[in-house]
Formats: sequence, C-alpha cells, structure tokens
Amino acid sequence: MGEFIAFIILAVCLLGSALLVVTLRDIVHAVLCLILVFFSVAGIFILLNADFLAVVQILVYAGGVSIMVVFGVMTVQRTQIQRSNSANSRFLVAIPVVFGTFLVAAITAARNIWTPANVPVPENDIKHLAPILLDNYVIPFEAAAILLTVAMTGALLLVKEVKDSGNKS
Amino acid sequence: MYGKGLLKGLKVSLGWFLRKNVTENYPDEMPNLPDAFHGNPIFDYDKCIACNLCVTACPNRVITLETETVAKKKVVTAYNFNMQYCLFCGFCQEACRPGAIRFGKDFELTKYKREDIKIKFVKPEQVEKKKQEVLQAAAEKEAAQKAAEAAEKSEAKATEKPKAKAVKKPAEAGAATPNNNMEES
Amino acid sequence: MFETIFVDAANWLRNLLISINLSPFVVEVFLHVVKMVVILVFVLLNVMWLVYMERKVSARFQCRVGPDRNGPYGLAQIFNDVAKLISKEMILPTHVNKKMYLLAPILIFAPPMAILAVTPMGEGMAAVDLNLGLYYFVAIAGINTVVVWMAGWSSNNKYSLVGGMRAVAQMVSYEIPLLLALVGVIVLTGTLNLNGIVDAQKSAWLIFTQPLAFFIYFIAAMAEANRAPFDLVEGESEIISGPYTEYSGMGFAFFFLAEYANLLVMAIMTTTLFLGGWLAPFGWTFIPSWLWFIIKVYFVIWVVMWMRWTFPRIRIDHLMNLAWKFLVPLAIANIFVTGLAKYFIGI
Repeated sequence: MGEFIAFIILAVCLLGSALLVVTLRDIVHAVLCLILVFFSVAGIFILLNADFLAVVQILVYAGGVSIMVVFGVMTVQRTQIQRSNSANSRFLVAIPVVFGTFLVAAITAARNIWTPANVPVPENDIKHLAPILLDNYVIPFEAAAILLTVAMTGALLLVKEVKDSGNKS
Repeated sequence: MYGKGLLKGLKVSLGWFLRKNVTENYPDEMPNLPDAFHGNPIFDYDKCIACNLCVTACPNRVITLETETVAKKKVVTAYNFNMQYCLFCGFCQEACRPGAIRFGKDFELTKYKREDIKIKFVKPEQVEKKKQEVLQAAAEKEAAQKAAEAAEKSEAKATEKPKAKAVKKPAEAGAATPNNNMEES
Repeated sequence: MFETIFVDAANWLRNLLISINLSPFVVEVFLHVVKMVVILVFVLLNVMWLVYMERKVSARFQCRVGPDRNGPYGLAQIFNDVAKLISKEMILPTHVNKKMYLLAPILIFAPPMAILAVTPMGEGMAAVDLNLGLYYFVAIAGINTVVVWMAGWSSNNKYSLVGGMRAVAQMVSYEIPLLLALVGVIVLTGTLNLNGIVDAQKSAWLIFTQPLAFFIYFIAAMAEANRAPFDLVEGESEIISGPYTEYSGMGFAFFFLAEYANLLVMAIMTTTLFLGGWLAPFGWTFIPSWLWFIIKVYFVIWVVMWMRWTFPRIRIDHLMNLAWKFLVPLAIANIFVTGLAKYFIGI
C-alpha cells in the first residue's frame, strides 16, 4: 500500500515535470524540471530495490548531465531568457509520433508473458554487480571505456586552441 | 620540492596562531603607552613665564595667551587651549623652556558639550594669587633695594666709590633669582 | 556508560513506543523522524558554533581577541548573529526570477542534511546505515552546485551570474579527482558502506595507507565546500559575494549557514574516510567514540581554517589546471598503485 502511494507520487512528479520540460517558456526552468525528472526516476529505481542504479541516476544525470545542460544554457545568448525555450509548432507532428511509439511499446509489453525471477532482489546488490561488470563482461566494459576515452580525446582535439599560424597541433 | 612554499606558509601562519595576542582590551585595561605619547595637554600655571613661545610655535593657533602687566611683570591671566584644532604635534611642548605646557597620557578627550572642547587652564583665583605674589615680591624687592641703597649710602661715606658699585651688583642678581629658578626646574 | 548514551536513548524510545502498543511500522517511522530532527538540531548547533569558531580562530591567526563582548568569551555572539540574520528584511529585487530566487535558499540545506543522515557519528550511530553510503555521499554532494547556480542565475545580476558560472566550472573540475581519489579507499576497504569503511580502519587509518588519496581528496573537498583558497564562488574582492549578492535577511542567512554546513559535511567525510571515523587512537577508549568523532571533525575544521589564513585565493584557471593536469593524473596513478598492491601483496 505504502509502496503504491509512493509510486503514484513519484509517477505524477515524473510525468508532470517531464511535461513541463517541453512546455515551459523559460529554458532555465526547463533545466530545473529536467533535474526533477532525474530525481523522480531515481526514486522509482529505489522503489524497485535498485539502490545502485538510483544513486548512479543521481550522480550521473542529476549531478553530471544536468551540469552539462547548465553549461549549454549559459552559452545561450538571448536578450529575453523568458522566451528562450519557445514552444515550437511541430506539435502536430510530434503528438502522433509520440503516441504511436507509446502504443507500440504498450502493446508489446502487454502481449509479453512476464516470468518473475524467483530469486529475491539481493540486499547488497553492488557485490553482485561487480563480478558481472569486471569478470563476465569485462571485454565490452573495457571497450565502452576505450570508446568514451576516444570520444573525450576527440572532443579535446576539436576545442583545442588554434594557433595564429592556423596550426591545430 | 614542489609545494615547499605552501608548507612554509603553513608553518608561518601556525607561528602566528601560537603567538601572544597583541590586542589590548582597551576599555577594560588601559593601553600601555610610550613615554613620548601626546595625549591631553597639561599646563603648569606657576612655571609659565608668559614668553609667548608656545603661541608662536603652534601651527594651528590653538593656544591663546593673555597677560597683564603687574608691577613691571607679566602675569598670565588666560591660557586657552582650543583642542578642536590641536594636532598633537608637540611643538608647544618643545618650545616651552620652563616646561609649563606638556602632554600627558590621557587620550580620552571627547566631551559632551562643544564649549568644553576649549580648555581654559587659568582660574581667576590663580591669577589673583599670582598678582598678590608679584606685588608682594615687588614690594619686598623695593624694600630690599631701599635697604641696600641705605646701606650703600652709609657705606659710601666710610669707603671709596669703586667698592660701592661691586656691592650693588649682587643685589640685582638676587632680585632676578626667581626667574632663574623657574628656568632650571 | 557514556559510550552508548545515544544508542541507549534510541533503544529506550523504541521500547517506550512498543510498550504503548504501536505497530512496528509506526515505531520505525517515528524513530526515523526523531533521528532526522536530531540531525537537524545537530547541524544547526554546529553551524552556529562554527560561525563563532571561525571568528575566534581568524582572530587568533591575526593575534586578535575576536568577539568577547557578549557573554563569557563572547559566546552570546552566536545568538546575536543568528537573531540579526533572522530579523532582517528579505528584499525581493524587481528583476529577479522570483520562483528560483526564493527556492534556492530553501534547497541549499538539503544536500548537507541528506549526507549527514548516513554518516556514522559514533559506534552504531548512523541514522541510516546505507550499503552505498560513500556512493550516495558523492552523488548528493554534486547537487549542491545546481542550487548555487540557481541562486546565481535567478538574481539577474552579473556578479551573481559570474559566481554561479564559477560554481559550475569549479564543480566540474574538482569532482573528477575527488571521485578518483575515493576509488583508492574503496579498493582497500572493499566496501561502500561508511560503517564498513570505518571498521576497515581498525588496523591502520586510511590516511597512512592512502596518503596520496587523502591529499587529493582534501584539496578537492575544500573546493567542494567553497573554502579558501578555493572560495572562488564567493570571491568577495572580485564579485562581491557571488551568487549571494542579491540575497538579504533570511535568504542570505540560509546560504551563510549552508556554507558552514558544507564545511561540517566535508570535515565529517574526511574524518570518516581517512581519519578512522569514531575509532579511538592509541586505544584510548575511555573517551566515548562519538566524542572522538567530534574531536577529529573539529581538528579537520581547524586545519581548514588554518589553510584559509595561509593561502591567498587561487585563480579560476589555476584551479582548473590544478584539478585537471595535476590531481587527475595523480589520482589515476594512485588507483593503479593501490590496485597493484592489493593484487600482489593482498593488503
């Protein structure tokens, strides 16, 4: 019962703030609503006993990604920030696409036969997570790490200061 | 080594942390002032010879000195110190040879009333007393002179003239002694 | 007797509630509420004390006396400060972004409170014993920046905005070395539970086994708590008061006190992670564990104040250079060495 109430609150919070992100006129308010969305998602993770994922959600999304978005917002040059996130006129296209996707997902989910795992969620889930990441799937894990490093190096190269001679090295 | 300066800085500031306080809890404890401190002006009426040097030495014309001549002698009737213009330079103290005006250590010179800022050092009764003293001294001197003259006359009859002149001089010097004493003290 | 005074109090309260026939669920909820209130009071008392301590320690470093007019040793100054801050008018400038402007001071206290809920302040004295305690701390600590940025942005003042931008830029640069430094701790202790980390330090405190990690963590945490020499966000000589420029009265009071709450959190985490938490050094267990904890925390705070009066404020690009070019490689090297040691020696 308590879990259900918590879920309702979190879901309302999540959907409401997600809606606000796309409809609010002020881009700064939109960013703050986005952070609220991330927190609500973390709350839902906690309800599902996925503590680790919830903390990752807060750390990476609410802490990291939102800061990146903030950086982006601060480079926006608008005389009137209140009108910065102008609601565009692509609603007519967006609504059918979103509802279509939602419908497909809902139908697929409904037709699927869910087999719940008979094992209860482990208490200390990080102890079970570590062997999976660093033992069973170490190659994909490392590959992802290398990919990210390459991406970061590429980004550094792109923003590197251009010397007067035009030499980028 | 990298960051050596940082450690040195920490050492220095720790040294300051462990040092004794330099703050003086002023209203609770009076500060320990140096001897040459220029605080409140102190005027010694009896030492003043009304030479006017302090008045001319003062860059801000703080001091006004009024005198009255009684029996060929100057008697100070007013010595006013207008504190609001005083810059505590100490020139008056330096100029005063008898040491009649000097600076004390009291620096709490704030007053409740504006008129209190002007310090009037000389009191009327002091002036009266001084006048009396001067008159008395003049009378004594006159008497002494008369006595000396009488002695001279009586002596001149007995001895020769050059010797009489030599007797007269010590009498004059004796009359000037009060001033000399003041200068020395 | 004093050792278990707080645990005993909690047990006594629980037994009392059970004895009046409340359901276990209600009892647990009630106990958690009580714990939260206790933490709130703990934070507020410490913050008030820190305002006074900062003045006194600053005075000592300058060979002054500090506040000593009100009450014995000027202790009543604490109440005067708080009363002044509370009683002043909170001015709402015309051109501020009203919602954000008013929301920021309310939210600023949330991260330090949330972190203090999981820290063990004595033997068995964590309000919530979280398995992911350390991870949770790192996640919540990052949120602080968003609130500061909110204040800076909504004030509609160029100094506030510069302060907010500095807060964000600073956060991006110190968060990485901070996280990487903590990996060394996790490798050695093998747990993310803060109680577990304290237990793992029974043989040797982590400051001795992980000196480099401590060094990096301490620098990064000072930047996180906005303490000098990393107080760029406020930088009063450059940008007045940074994001707090437009705030007055209660609004400013909240930011002002939250600064000290963050300092407290920083000191508490340093103590827990590297200085053995509530463990007694030299086996001096005659002093209760929670008292040891407080002593260590205040020693760390004193060191931070010592640094404040020693080093001048660092420039923003120097902070970036220090974090990215010096601390990050150092932290990665530390992880590497710790991993090798763990693998070959099996500490």
